[in-house]
This record gives sequence, C-alpha cells and structure tokens, in this order.
Amino acid sequence: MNNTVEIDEIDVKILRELIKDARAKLKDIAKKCDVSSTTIMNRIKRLKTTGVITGAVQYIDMSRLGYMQPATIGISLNYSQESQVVKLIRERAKVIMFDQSVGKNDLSIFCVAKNIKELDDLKQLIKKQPQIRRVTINLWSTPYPNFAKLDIQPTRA
Amino acid sequence: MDELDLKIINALAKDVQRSFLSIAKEIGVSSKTVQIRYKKLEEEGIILLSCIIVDLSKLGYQGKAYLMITNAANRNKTETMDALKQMENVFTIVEIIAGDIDVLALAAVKDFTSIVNLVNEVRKLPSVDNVEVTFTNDTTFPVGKEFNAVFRT
Repeated sequence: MNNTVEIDEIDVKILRELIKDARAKLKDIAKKCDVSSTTIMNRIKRLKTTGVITGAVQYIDMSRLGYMQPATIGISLNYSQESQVVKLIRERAKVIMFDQSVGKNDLSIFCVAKNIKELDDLKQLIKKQPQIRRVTINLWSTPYPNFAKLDIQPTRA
Repeated sequence: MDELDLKIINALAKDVQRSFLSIAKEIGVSSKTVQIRYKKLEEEGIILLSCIIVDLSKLGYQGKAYLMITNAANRNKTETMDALKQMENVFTIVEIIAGDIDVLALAAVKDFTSIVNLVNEVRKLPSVDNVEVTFTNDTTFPVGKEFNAVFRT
C-alpha cells in the first residue's frame, strides 16, 4: 500500500490548523509556521492536488435545525443482498456516512432523522428486505470530536 | 435563528471554506453582516466546528475502526469516554443514549498492530465490559462530503 504523499513538518502544522478550523486565515497559519502566507497558500494547493485534503465539513448542532442527533445503523446481511440494501438506504435515509465494513456489521450507516418514528420506519423497512440478519440502531448524544488525537507525522513517499 | 442564518448555513454547506464576501454576494447582504452572523452562529453553538476532510490513506492510514463499547454495569460512562479521549487516533467519541451499546468510538487505523493495541487498551479499562469492532477501508476523515448535504435545502 503506497498511496502516501510526502509531507514535511510545515505540512503537518498546516493540516493540524485546518483540522482545528477549516476557515483558519492564511495569515494566522503563516504566523504559526513562521513562513509567508504565499508559502501556506501554495502548500495548501499542493495538499489539495495530491488528494490529502479533499474538502471541508461543518458540524451543525442538529437539534437547532429540527433534527435529532445522528444515529448509527448497523446491518448484518447476506452478501448477495448488499447492493440492493445500499441503494434502498441511500434513497430513503438522510445519510451522513456510509461504510461497507467487516466485523460485527456488514454495513455501517450514520444518518440523521427528524424523530424516532422516522428512524423506526427506516428500520422496519430495512428489516423487511430479504436476507437481512440483524439491524441495530444506536441513538447518539452530541458527538465529541477528538481530532487533536489524530496522529499526523511527516512522511517520505 | 432566522432565514438569513439558514441561508448562511446553506451557503457554507456548499463550500465550507468560501469567503464571507462571496456568501454575501450570493444572498444579497453585506460581507460584514455575514461575518457578524457567522460569529453569532458559532457563539450560540449552532455551528460547532469546521474541519477539512483528509484522505488518511495519503498519510499512511489503512482505514477506520468503529469500537462499539459496552460499559461495565456499575461504572459511569464518562469514565470510559474520558479515557478514550486520551487515546491516540481515537478521533470521535459518542455517547449512545439508546441502542445495544453504550459508547461508540471512531479510530483511524494505521495497521493491524495499532488496532490490536488500541482494542486491548480499551478492553483493559475497568469501566469497560465489552468491545466489538467493525472495520472499513474507507479513509475519509472525519466524515465525507455527504455530511454537508444534510443541511442543504
């Protein structure tokens, strides 16, 4: 597996700042890295073209927008049905993360719903599909982002 | 929160990093207004954070693990969560309020050794009863672009 991009200590610092705040000002990042804003801009550009940075997200307090906190749906199912179930969920649920996985669950879905009924309807619908072994729903409390613990080290590609 | 706040949230959902000026032009107010509103949305805890999406595979990671933790019956969940916050590469911790587990932790996975060590570290916690693991080779951190779409109207 050699997909890695070469990054040095300055790149690591830039990534850390942008993980803390995707809207951080170039000027402020530059000050922390002790280089010019132009350097930071070029480096961010490179991190984007090499596919290290692929976009940005904002976390919103869902409850303020009329949603419940997210829920995780874990599904264990027969492999032959997987693509149909994936399609169904994509159509019916407000998905925020969708992973085909191995281990306890074959599919791990993070989604948001307006209320318990909406979530339960979705669960019942999934359960009705053939070859489903188990559907588990876990309702979240406010998630705690622990991003500073992501270990980013300079690499040599 | 009013119509204007929603417009700003929606504009940002399309591109989190766009300038206040370009948002201002789109929704027909001044850049200063957008800036003030954004600050207010942050202060009121409506916008919780903004974060770049990183492809962890470019940084030497192979995937992510979901640790599904059952807390020991006589222990407090916060004990487990506080311990998880200190663990390397555990990047999100969620308290589960209803379901078949008590705490969900998302971790970035470098290799087999790192995840075995992490799971053992969690299992060793006196406040933890059981840990189940699900893996994915998806390397998007912290969540993908789909996340923003939820807020778009």
